[in-house]
Amino acid sequence: MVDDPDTDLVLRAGLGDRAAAQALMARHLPKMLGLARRMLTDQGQAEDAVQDAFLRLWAHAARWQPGRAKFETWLYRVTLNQCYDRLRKRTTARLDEAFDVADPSPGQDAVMQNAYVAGEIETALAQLPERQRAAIVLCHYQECGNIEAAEILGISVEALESLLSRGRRTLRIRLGHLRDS
Amino acid sequence: VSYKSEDGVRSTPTSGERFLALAASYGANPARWPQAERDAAEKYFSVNAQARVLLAEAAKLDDALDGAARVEDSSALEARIMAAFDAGSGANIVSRAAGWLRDRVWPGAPLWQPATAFALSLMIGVGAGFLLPFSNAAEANTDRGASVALGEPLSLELTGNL
Repeated sequence: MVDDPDTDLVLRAGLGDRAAAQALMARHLPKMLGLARRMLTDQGQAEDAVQDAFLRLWAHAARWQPGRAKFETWLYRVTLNQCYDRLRKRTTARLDEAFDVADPSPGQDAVMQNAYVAGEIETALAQLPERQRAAIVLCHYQECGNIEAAEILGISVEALESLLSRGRRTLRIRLGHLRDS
Repeated sequence: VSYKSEDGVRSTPTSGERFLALAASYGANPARWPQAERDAAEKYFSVNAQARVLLAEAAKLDDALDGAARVEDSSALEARIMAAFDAGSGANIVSRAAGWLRDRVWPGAPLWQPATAFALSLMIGVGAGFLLPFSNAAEANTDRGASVALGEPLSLELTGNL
């Protein structure tokens, strides 16, 4: 039996309780948007993915069975699948366009420099294979524990560690110029 | 691979490799390491200078990753999601009501079975409705014929007029 702090809210939302639905959304929307934004690197697409994940939640809340899975893990999984769907529909051209970040020239201020660094990180993350990226986003940015991250990805903890290790190795190479500067 | 600690104790290759693998996978922040291995790993790194070099490398990557842009909240998205909830709650009520009725009338059956039975009953009722007017008219004619045959007034009003 999974001890889940969201069970009551999900069941109430399933009965049409608007306050419960709103509380559920307030608790989880920032995390889901964080995941989608870092997976998709596009704010509009990330918002669409999260909205579709919540639509699925509203549709299924009435049939939620407590104890079978942790609600947050389920919602992460639904959101991640929405992200995968969108990533697979993308074209290379669209990706190139999304990561076209200008090099900073001398004299640009710190804001521009930060934007440049952020752009470089997003580009490096986006160029990782989907599952390596998802593993790093879940463990580093979303601060999921290893067991929860493995459950979300539907893999073993050993497989998760392998994805993380390979992903970080690639990032270390691609972001070397940032770390050395 | 084994690492000689600062106090001269040589760690077992297995645990040493494992702790380095933790840093390679989860980074340098112990808070991200698996809880069960955290204390032992922290102790290992605290006494192994060579291992700490690799930990520092992992920390550099962590810092770089932390330079990613912050994800902004979206109030417009919140409004869209709640609008979807409001729009769906009406449909949910109908669905729940159908489920409640099904559980009491035909427990355990899929919804299409009682729905089909209801539709058939409705069709039979409508079909019977087409037949009923003829039956009533025949009855009325019979009553009227009987009244005339018996030489009785057709209604009290007619009797009053007479």
